[in-house]
Amino acid sequence: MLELRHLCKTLPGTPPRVLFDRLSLRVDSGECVAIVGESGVGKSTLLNCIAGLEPIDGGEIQVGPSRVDRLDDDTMARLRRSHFGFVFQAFHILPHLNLLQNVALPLWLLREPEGSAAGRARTMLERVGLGGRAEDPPQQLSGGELQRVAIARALVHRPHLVLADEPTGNLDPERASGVLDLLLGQIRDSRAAGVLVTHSRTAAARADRVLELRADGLHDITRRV
Amino acid sequence: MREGRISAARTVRPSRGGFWLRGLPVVLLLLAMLLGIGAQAQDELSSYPPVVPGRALVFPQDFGAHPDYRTEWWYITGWLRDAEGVERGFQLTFFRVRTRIGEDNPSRFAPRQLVLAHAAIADPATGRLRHAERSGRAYPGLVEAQEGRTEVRVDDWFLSGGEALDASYHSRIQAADFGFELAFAPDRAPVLNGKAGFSQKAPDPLNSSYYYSRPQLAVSGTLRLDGAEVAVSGHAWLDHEWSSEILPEGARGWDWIGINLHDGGGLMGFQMRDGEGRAIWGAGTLSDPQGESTVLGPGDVRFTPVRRWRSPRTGIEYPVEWTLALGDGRRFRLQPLMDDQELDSRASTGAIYWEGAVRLFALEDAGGEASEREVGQGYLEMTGYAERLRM
Amino acid sequence: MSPSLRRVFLASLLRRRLATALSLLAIALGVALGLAVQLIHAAALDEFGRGMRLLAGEADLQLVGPRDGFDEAVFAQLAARPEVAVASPVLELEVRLPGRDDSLRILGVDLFRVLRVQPGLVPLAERAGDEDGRFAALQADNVFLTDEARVRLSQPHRGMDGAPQPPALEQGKLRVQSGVRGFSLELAGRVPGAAGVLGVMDIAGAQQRFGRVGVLSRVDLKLADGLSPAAGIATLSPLLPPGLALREPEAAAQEVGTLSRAYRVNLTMLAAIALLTGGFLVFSTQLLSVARRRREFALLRALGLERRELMHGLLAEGAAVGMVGGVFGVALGHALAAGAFRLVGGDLGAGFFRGLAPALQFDAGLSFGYLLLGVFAGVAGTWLPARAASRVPPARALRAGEGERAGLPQAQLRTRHAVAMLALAGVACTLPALGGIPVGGYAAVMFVLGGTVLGLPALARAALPLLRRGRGVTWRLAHARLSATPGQAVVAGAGVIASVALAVSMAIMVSSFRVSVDEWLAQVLPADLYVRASSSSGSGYLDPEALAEIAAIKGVDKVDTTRLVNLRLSDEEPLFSVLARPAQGNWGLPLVSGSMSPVEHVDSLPPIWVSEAAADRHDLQRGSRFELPLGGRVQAFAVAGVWRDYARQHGAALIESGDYVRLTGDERINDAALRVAPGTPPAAVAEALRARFGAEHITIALPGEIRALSLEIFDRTFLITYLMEAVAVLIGLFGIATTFAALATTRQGEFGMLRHLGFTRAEVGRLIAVEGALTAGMGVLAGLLAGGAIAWVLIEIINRQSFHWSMDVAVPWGALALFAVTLVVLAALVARLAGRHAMQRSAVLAVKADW
Repeated sequence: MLELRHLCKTLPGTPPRVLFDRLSLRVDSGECVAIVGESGVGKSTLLNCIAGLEPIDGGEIQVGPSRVDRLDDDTMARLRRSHFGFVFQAFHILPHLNLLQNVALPLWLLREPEGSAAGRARTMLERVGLGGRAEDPPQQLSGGELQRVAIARALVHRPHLVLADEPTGNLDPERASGVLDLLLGQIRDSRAAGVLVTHSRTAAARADRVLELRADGLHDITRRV
Repeated sequence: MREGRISAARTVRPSRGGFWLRGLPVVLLLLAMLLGIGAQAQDELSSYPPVVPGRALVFPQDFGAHPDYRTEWWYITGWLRDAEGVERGFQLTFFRVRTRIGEDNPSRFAPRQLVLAHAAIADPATGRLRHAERSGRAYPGLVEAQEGRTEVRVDDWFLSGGEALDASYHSRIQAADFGFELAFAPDRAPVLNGKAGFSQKAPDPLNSSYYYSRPQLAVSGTLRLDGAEVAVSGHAWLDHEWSSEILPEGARGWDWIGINLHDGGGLMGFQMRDGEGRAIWGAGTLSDPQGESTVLGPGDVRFTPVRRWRSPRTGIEYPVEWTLALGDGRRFRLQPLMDDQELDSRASTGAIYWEGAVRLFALEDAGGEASEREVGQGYLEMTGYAERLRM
Repeated sequence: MSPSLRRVFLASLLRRRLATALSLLAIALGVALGLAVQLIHAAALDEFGRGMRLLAGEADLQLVGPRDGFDEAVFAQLAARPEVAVASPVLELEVRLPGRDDSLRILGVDLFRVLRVQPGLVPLAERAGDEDGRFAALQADNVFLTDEARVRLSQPHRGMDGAPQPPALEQGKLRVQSGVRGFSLELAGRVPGAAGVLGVMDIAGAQQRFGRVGVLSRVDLKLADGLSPAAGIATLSPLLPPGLALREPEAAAQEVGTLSRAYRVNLTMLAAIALLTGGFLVFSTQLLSVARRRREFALLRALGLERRELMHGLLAEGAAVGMVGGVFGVALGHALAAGAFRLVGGDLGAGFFRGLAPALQFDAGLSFGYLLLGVFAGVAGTWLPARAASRVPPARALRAGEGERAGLPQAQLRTRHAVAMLALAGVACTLPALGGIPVGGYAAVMFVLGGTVLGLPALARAALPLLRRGRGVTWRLAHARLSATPGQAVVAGAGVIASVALAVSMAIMVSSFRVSVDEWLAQVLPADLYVRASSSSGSGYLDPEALAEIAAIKGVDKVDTTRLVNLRLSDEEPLFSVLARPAQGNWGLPLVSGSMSPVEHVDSLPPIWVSEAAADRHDLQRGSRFELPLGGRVQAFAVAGVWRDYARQHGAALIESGDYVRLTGDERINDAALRVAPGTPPAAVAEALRARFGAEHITIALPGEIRALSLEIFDRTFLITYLMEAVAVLIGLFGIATTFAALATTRQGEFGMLRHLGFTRAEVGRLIAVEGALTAGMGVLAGLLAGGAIAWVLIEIINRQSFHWSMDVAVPWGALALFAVTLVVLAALVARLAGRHAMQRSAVLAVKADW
């Protein structure tokens, strides 16, 4: 589903810092890959490059049949809205929309009719355990609940690829575990590919594969965690 | 604007601003600059009635104004004495001028006739003259010179009387630093000057006026100096003169006296001077207590300067003491009440002349010894002593 | 304030430069407009007063009466009084200059009396050296001109139609006109003590040459020593005939001030609304800024900052903005005033101080006052946000997730308050004017504005469901955002409401006024042709002979005449116009009540028709008795009707020509209205008239021309109003801009997330634009409603009480719609521009940054 081939990325500056040098990665549908690494090593940048939000200096990024690195800004945006799902550390749930609307947001973007969008969003909310609170405003929710809404939003439109950047970074360990289970479960259920960036080895351990990003590239450490 | 008036005055030359003797300074300098009684007026001379000999003066009709004639004045000078015996001179003049402007104008403001008034007090305690003036165009009830009797006024300043031959006059003047309200009682009929009131001013009889005098008027009333009002009494001299004529070219100034003699008589005399200060004409009238008068011809009145006084303000030198010789051989000396009776009105009218109270002393040779005796009190007017009218 | 606080608070202003600059600008504009109005008026009044003082010279009192003069008998009476030291009569003439449409003020004076009372008017003969010059001041044909007059009259004049008109003064001769006859006056000299365009001549000459024998227009009195002006008035006033009054010369300026007061207050209120808008803008930006800094404040509070210190710090921010804005405003106000003097003159185009060239003067007190107003606007705008910020519990604000909420100030504005304010507005409308100022009307305007601002959330809640039909995701998002947070609409829209309400109300009012004036003109000008020798109190006039000649011209069917005189009713009503004309005839009379037929049985008094202003002031209706001082005595009339008069806000009355002539003996005519015989072209009659009287001596106008000219003047008068509207709208747009700039900054995370979800940049931009449009749309909608209400207040209360004009409401629907749409589009653009900065930030960083 996702394939990185010889990805190169250099951060500008004096002297320029080489972040990735011919980095390659393949993630299949239904597979969840966790990427760990020290702060500043480029985990998030890698996610952003995959999402087409940050330019790369060389190599190829393929998502399904699309070469992400060759798409222009708007085409990439359209690709994201149909094929990508995102989960952020800071949740980014819109406070002026209720939970249902927040979840339905990607479907709105895809011009899904109001009724079916609401239905799918409701179903999705039920799947994350918030079925009864669809009309509530997000202000009343706890952090863990907010992130569950975010997960529902990330998956409601059946994306092929879900990218999660420190999805449990703002949560306490108990909640984090539940949210992570939910996220991975939902990714697997929807046969999407998942890339999860985290600094938590505990979180990473639940993925199908765990890769550590270092200055010299990605290293599979699945067995070690 | 004041400056405006001054600069207008600068252009006025007394020798040309045709007027005769008495009041020439005021009239000429106060009026001429406003009205320009000048060459243009001369062209229109024909429209003013000529002054001719043989016109009998009729009273009280002739006490009043003669509005057809170009100029006219009532001129009172005299001495006042208060309860403490302090003597002061005073002078009061009302002029009437026919401008020949706006005679066809139905407006009551039409400036056909102007009336101007001038008053001064010679107080030795002040050391110089206090003087003030009023002027205006004739306007019914406010500014007038009426016919038939003496009734002249400029707003609240007035002189009235002369309803009958022996009627009194009454006058009130109020200025900033002085004022007076006086009654003037005659004790005799008017004294006609010249030929029965026809008074020639120059060798050419064209330059003449109708002129009568009222010597020995008994004065009573109140005088205000600054804030203080005192009762006063005294004697005064009234001249009333009207004419249309202009002085000839060449006349520069004149000297005039009007003296109430202690013996009850009166003496009027004047001389006209040319540019070199020589007399070109002179005349006078000597009257006795009954009013019988002797006419003094050009040769009968001779003025000789005795002592000069220089004004500290203007630098002009005036002969403030004179000897006067009459045709009959009598000689007199004129001595001023005070030297500084210069009228410096540069700030208003621009005129500078000397007009003041004088005593008349008879000079007698008693056995080879010269002796003096005060024989009268009156007024002396001297004009044309300024180098030129510069200001 | 401690240095640390300075760094925390004032430095914050520098960080958000755009918002600060815009708030500052808004306050500066409000301050500048208000100050400029005051400065211009003060300078004009000052110049007028100085001119009056100069002309009045040393006079203690002035006798004044009808503009056209009064019988001079009273002069002699006053001059003879012991209380009066000197009385100086003046005949003031507005002398028509043939062939030119400007006129020359000539004062006929008595030289001997001006010397003692008004030295500034003493003429100085120019050719004093030559013999002719000595007669100068008394000669009937001599005129003395100020240097300004000489320059102006020697030059060609640009007529109202733009065509050049000949010089009036050529080769020492001044061409003037009396009646329909032109003649020359000799230029004899200067008036060195006077300023302005002015001539002086002998009073007798003036009376004779201009046909005013026996008439004076003023007598200046110097009182006897020790008599106070008040005592003089008390003693002398009983001697005066009706219609004449004594006043101190200073009072002249006051009277003009009174006449122009309503106009001035109107302009000041407009400026106040601009300032209010500025205050709203400060409110908007501060509220957002405070919301954005909640965590910062919470942290500071946690670190030990006192609540009071926080409040003070925030207020200091507002005060600083207000202060700097005020300083700029004061400078700008002076610049505006200076510019206005050059462009439209000292009366802001209203015609109260015609011909004055006032000089701008710095007024420390006034400037300081307006500076304080600026500071006040800044502090007041900050008050609520500061209070809110200081009350937030620090722990809550420090919680994670608060960042989401930070961008959404929840202004707690109650609908209840809005309703109460609107009710107060209604009550205020019922109040009568206070001293000629419609205080209640202005209060109502303020209440309507306040009520609308407070009621905006409710309005948004009511209106937004109607707009839910949209399908697009941007529309849905924008709609959802606005529905969820109507408070934001208030924050962003408050400025819009104020400015839109102002602009809309003025537009409706001006449009109603203009339409009414146009109709009114059509009604009052029914004849085919109008002939005039000069405007009222001018030296040109038509006399019976001239009228007979006009009537004899071929093609003239009927001639009706108007005589216009201006009376003085009292010190409070120094100007009252009386028109004498046939009630039925070629002159239309736009009655609003009563009828054209006289009232029967009212003591057989002659009929009078009064203008609305007169009816309002004197409480008149059909059948009332009304007295006027005419011809030196009081004459009673019976009111037959009330008519609408847009030409004379000071009040006017119409009486029958016959009655007027019988009462005054004045047979002069200002205007003649001609009905042309059928089949005769009016132009031919006009040609014949010009040939008969000389084209330069009369003005012939067709009703169409008069209407065009009147409307042009009308538009010029409202020029300043348009300018202020534009400024207010500009400020309102600033409000949108600052709000959205601030919001966009706080919503970077949201935009970043949307970009992740697949929004293109353009879509994010569109979202901001749609939000801007929706917010502005709400503001505009509220502004339209408020504007309509305010327009009603303006028309029915403020205009009625200030100017006593009624008018028919005419709403310019098309223009309003265009305006509203333009504003919404502009707001979208402005919001889009303001949000650009936030949009361009990397979506990557945006989702990362929490606050």
